[in-house]
Amino acid sequence: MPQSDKTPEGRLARGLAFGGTAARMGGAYLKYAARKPFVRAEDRERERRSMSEKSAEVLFGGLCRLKGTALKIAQMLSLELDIFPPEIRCELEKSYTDVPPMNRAMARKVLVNAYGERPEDVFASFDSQAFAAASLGQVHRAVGHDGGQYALKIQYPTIRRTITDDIRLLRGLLRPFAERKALEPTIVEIETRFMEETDYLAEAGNARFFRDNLNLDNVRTPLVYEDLCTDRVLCMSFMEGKTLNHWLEDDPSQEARDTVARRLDDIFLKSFYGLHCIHADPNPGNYIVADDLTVGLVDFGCVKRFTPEFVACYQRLPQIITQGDKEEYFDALRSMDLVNSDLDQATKESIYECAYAFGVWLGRLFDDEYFDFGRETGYIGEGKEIMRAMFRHRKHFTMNPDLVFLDRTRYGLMRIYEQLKCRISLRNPYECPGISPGTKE
Amino acid sequence: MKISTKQKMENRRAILDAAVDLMIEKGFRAMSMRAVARKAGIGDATIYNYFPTKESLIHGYYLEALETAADSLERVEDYDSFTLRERLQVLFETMLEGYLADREFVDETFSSVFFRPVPAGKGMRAIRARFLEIVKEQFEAAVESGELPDMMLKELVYHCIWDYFVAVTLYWLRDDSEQFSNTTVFIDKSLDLGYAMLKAGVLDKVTGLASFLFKSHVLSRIEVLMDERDTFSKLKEEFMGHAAER
Repeated sequence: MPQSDKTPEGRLARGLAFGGTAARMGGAYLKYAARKPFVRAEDRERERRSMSEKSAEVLFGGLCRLKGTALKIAQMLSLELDIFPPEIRCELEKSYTDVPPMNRAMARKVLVNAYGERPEDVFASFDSQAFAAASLGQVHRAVGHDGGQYALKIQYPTIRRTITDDIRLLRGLLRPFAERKALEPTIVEIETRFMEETDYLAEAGNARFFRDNLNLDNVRTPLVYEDLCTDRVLCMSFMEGKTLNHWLEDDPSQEARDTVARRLDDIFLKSFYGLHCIHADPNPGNYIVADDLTVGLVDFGCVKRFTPEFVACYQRLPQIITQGDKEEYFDALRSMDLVNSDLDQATKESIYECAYAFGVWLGRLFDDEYFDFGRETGYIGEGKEIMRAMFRHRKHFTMNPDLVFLDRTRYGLMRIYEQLKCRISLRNPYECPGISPGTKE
Repeated sequence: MKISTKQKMENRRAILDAAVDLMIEKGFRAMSMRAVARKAGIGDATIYNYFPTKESLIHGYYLEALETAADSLERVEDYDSFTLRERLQVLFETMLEGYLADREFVDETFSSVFFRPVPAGKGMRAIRARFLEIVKEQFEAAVESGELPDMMLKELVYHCIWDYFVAVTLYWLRDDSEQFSNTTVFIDKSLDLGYAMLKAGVLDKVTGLASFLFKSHVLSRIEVLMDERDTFSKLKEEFMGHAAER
């Protein structure tokens, strides 16, 4: 089919071919794989673990078969696994739409299945053309008989089975790799997350939780219409405004951008420290900015809850690092199940060094009253370097999913602040002792 | 005494409802015209003004189902903006939604009407003609809007779609997935292919081959998906055996 060029397979194949013919593709990849044993330098003696040509072939074949959800997972894993050649990694890092969008007929069918009635019998009006993509579904507008404006989130009928199949495929692909065992918790976490994301009744519960508890001025949360929700259709009040990325296209003033950024920061701080539960999907499409600069929060498919102990520990980390007490630092990491308990002194030293650099980097956000993301354009890049250095020690770390999501969220927020080029005071009573609550907004 | 057209329609509807119920209860053989008439609340003799034979009751049902589906398409809010592919998909889904309440009846009767070793009789021809008419309207709208190039041999394409619909219904009758979502996905994916072929003008160039491919594709998919090998091999032979009537 002519449009196959746009498909992930087509693009991946192109990434592999990098200008060569399809026939050379496999060869080029195999050469790469042979050149690059999949073991850490210090494990050279365990040659048997290095990747055989055969497994490279299997991976190559499989990678081209990946679609949708599996591709999304491969994307997440490519950051953790050093097994893909740069051309492929580069392709994987581009974002794909996870699932093919449903056409008008299919969107209707999903509603008929959910409600047992045709959309025109349920709503005064239903637009069968989606107005937004959700991570594993899409969102449509509808108007109720009472004039209520709804946003309906729907999913492809067999999406859950697709996820299960894709994950199975992916596990098969990863079989040849030594690091597969270390990845297993991450794969399980991703699978669980996808399953949660496709359970719209759970999402309705999350949306209700935030609506009942967030209670921030100038932040709007959608109202859930229980009677119109099923596990596959989520019905919420429609949010007026523009998604953050569209809002930015209109070139808002510095003051407006600062205000919006401050509100995003308030959402995060109140959620994490106040509710121990965060909206863990900070992409610009999930924030709806209205004309009065109030921020609407949408898409509660990815929500993370934390234990009070975890939050308390996390809150202490920056201080521990700046005080320079290594033992206390490792105690804290251990109590958060982050590091293996028996580390030798040299390893501890070098982990600590990275962590200290990281702490100093984060600390810069709080050095002055205001941090200007518009001027400090290289800031996030530096952080990335430090994280990469941290990553070298990854075999000593247990991937604590809680922390993964928390870090991803904070990092995602900073990326947004950078896009906003905002000047923002990040000092807050939770993380900076001596600041009294209520000095902001 | 003369009765209004509206009353006639209602009587017809009542007779068909009664026939469906009785057939599900007793089966085709044990059902009598008289029982149908009484259940529908009309005279023992009057029923013959509407349906002369038991078979014509079954044909009447399928014709009625088509009309209902066609009406329902008219009421789809933004139908005007649907592509041909979406219109076909919504037609199929609407047909199956209509069959759903009478699934046992359809299961009992569908094959006997749509798969007869002997060439189709008058009743079946009428159903097919109406179906082709609906599809033809959809195609003409697509050509008019410039979505599709005008093709030669369109009639053959419509017949392909008819065969395809018959195959989809058979698939649905054997589908045991939750809310028949396998059928929904099957329709979605196979229409992708069919529509791509249409857009590419494949059918225009090699209609015979395309219809062969299309039938064999759809049917072999069904064969793979179901352990009804024998039935389907037979069906396929029949299908392949005689080209659609002109």
